[in-house]
Amino acid sequence: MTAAATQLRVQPLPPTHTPLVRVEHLRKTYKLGRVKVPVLHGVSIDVAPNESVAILGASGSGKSTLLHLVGGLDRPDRHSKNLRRCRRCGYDTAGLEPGELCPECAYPVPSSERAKIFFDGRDVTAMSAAQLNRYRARDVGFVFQFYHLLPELSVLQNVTVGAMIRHGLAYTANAAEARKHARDLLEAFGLAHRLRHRPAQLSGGERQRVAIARALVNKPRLLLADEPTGNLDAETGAQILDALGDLRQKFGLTMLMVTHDPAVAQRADRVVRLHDGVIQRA
Amino acid sequence: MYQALLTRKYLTSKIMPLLAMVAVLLSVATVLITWSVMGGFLRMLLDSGRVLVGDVTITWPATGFAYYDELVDDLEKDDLFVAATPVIEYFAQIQLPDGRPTEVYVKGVDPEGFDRVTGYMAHVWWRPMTEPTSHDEHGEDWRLDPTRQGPLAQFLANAKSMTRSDDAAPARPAAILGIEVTNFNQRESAGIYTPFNPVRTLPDGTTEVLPIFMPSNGEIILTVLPPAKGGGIVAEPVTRSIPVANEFQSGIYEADKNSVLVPFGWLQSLLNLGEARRVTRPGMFDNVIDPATGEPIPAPVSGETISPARATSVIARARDGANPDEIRKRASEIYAAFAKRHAGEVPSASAIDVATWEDLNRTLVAAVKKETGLVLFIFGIICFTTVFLVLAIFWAMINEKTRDIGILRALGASVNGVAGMWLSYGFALGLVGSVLGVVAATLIVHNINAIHTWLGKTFGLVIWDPRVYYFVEIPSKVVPVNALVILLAGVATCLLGAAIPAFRSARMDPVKSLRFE
Repeated sequence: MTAAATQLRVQPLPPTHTPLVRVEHLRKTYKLGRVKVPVLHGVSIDVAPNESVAILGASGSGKSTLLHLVGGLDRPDRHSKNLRRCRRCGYDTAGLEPGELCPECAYPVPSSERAKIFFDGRDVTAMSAAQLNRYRARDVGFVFQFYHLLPELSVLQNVTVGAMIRHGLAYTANAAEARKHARDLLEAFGLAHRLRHRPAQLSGGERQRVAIARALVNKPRLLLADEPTGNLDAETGAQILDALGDLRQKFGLTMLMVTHDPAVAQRADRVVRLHDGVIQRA
Repeated sequence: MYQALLTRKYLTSKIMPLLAMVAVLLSVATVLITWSVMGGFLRMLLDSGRVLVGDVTITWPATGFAYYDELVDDLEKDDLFVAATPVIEYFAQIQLPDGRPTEVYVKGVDPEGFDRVTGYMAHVWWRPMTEPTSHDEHGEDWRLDPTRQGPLAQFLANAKSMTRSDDAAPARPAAILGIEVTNFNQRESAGIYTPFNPVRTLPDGTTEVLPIFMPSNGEIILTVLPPAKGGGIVAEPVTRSIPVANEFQSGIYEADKNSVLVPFGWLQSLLNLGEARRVTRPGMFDNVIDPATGEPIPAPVSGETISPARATSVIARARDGANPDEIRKRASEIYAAFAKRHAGEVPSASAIDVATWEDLNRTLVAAVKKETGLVLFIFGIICFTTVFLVLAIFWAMINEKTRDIGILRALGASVNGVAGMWLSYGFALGLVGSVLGVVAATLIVHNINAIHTWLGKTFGLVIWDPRVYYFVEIPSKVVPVNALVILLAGVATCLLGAAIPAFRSARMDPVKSLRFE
């Protein structure tokens, strides 16, 4: 089966739901010096509210890039009018369907449609920098493989820093509420006795739980998890996934998780495979 | 809010920024200490200079001008001036007891009025002393000897009256010499003087020690060349012997080396500047016809008038804090009104010389000012390297914190927010460093003399030698405005150093930052 044949332009959704996240024709190319490295080739995917979707793929398949683009950390490639030409070798691909391979270099033919990411009907790709900041602060929560906690801050401060960023100067008025919410989250994760500890004093599993608490402190609707168990042993990873599942139920979260581990992906409502920047049927 | 939190955390948990803070502290302290000492030196110089001329002097040299008492009254009636007094200033040669001649400026002053204007009595050297001066730690001051307190009290009284009475003889007008005029006083490193007996060299190559202490039994022979009488061109030198009442130390070496104070009336008389009967003498060929004989006879002396006494200067003291330009302007206005009343009798307002002490010593003051500016400039340039130090440290810190920047961006922090965080960090660092620098400089300046003494004792290091600088004490006052200016400059330095790294951090790609290893 070729990549072109297996590509799904839009993953089917349960018929009664309108998607919270809709990704259309997403393309992304990185530049390494003068060399262009295409990562995503017209990826499209829908995620329904409260749905948990796992993006499964090997290293370098573009999973994290997809997550960063959906989270508004990065922007997709600009729309190019010259899409008939192969983006790797410049071969004229007129007549080929998007996703089919270039006869010259076997590089997938990109979609000619403009890349779009919608969150709750809002076009993320059209947002200004300030709007993207607000989007990241209010609507999205990130969980990273390597936790990415701020080493100088205590556990509690690491969680509340998200609220500080969201509220800006108005944080003073919301500080008590934010701190209480942060404490509640940390207590729910069994970290009540660790509030004043530094990240370096915590185990990997504890750090990841702090990172999840930080991601949830602003009550986002979308949780983006990038290999959340990738740095943990199997048992701790399972605990983290259990915790994430509970939270999703409790807060009605929509979750997009990328992983290379099929066992982890199985925990999601739906699994989408990504191979060389192209979505494959699960 | 997160900026404040992280700034506080970075300030208290990182060693590198502390180094930047120390650099700011040292820079601020160095500049402030330099400015305080050099500025203080200039202030001391100006204050010392006023010991001889007050705040302003109105001068018509050589012949002097009349009605000076009226001008003194005019000045004292003005709100700007608190005291004024006439002075006669003239060039003279004196011969010292050991036979050496030396050139001096002799000033005829009224001791009471001169003290009101200049406060010179506080600078009279030979006076009773019970406590040693601050630098005289071993109490070696000649004036501290209990057996000398009586004579010293007499010397001080002599200075007040400008007279001296020897061996129950009637009091004679006496001079007060600058402490360096005679070279009979040895200046010690503690800033005190020890008198010694002068030694006279004799023609046969031998020497003779003279049992003379100037305020006690010393006399000088003073020679002046008064203005020629009647506008003639031949001047006759006048020589008088005058006892010495005391010596003074103004703090300005030139003044202490070249100035001699004598009673006003005594010098006025010597220079023929006193009140005098003036007549109009006929010319050599002016004849009149004798009514009795009808023969021409030489014209008689006629038109007898009284020529008022004159002084070469009137000096005045302004109220504290008055601006030199304002003082000069007001004194000129007062003299202009005075000259208008005595038109034709005194020099016109445009001809008279009205000058402040700074004007009279423009070269010296300008040199010290320029030196202060130059030193500050050089130190400023050296301290400017702090900008690059802060820049380098911030650059390294931001490199180290690249991932943190990515995390903050992922949490929704804006580009400006991240840049602002580093700028506020730079500001906090600069503020803390500068405040500590000002505090350190203030402590050092306030204790600079004690520190200097300790350095001298411990390492034999004498930076401020009173024999060279003439002031016993190193200036030890910090001007608050200067401290504020330097504090702000220190903060600006840090902000400048932090600006480029902050801009760079703001431009970082958050995705690359998160992947930074």
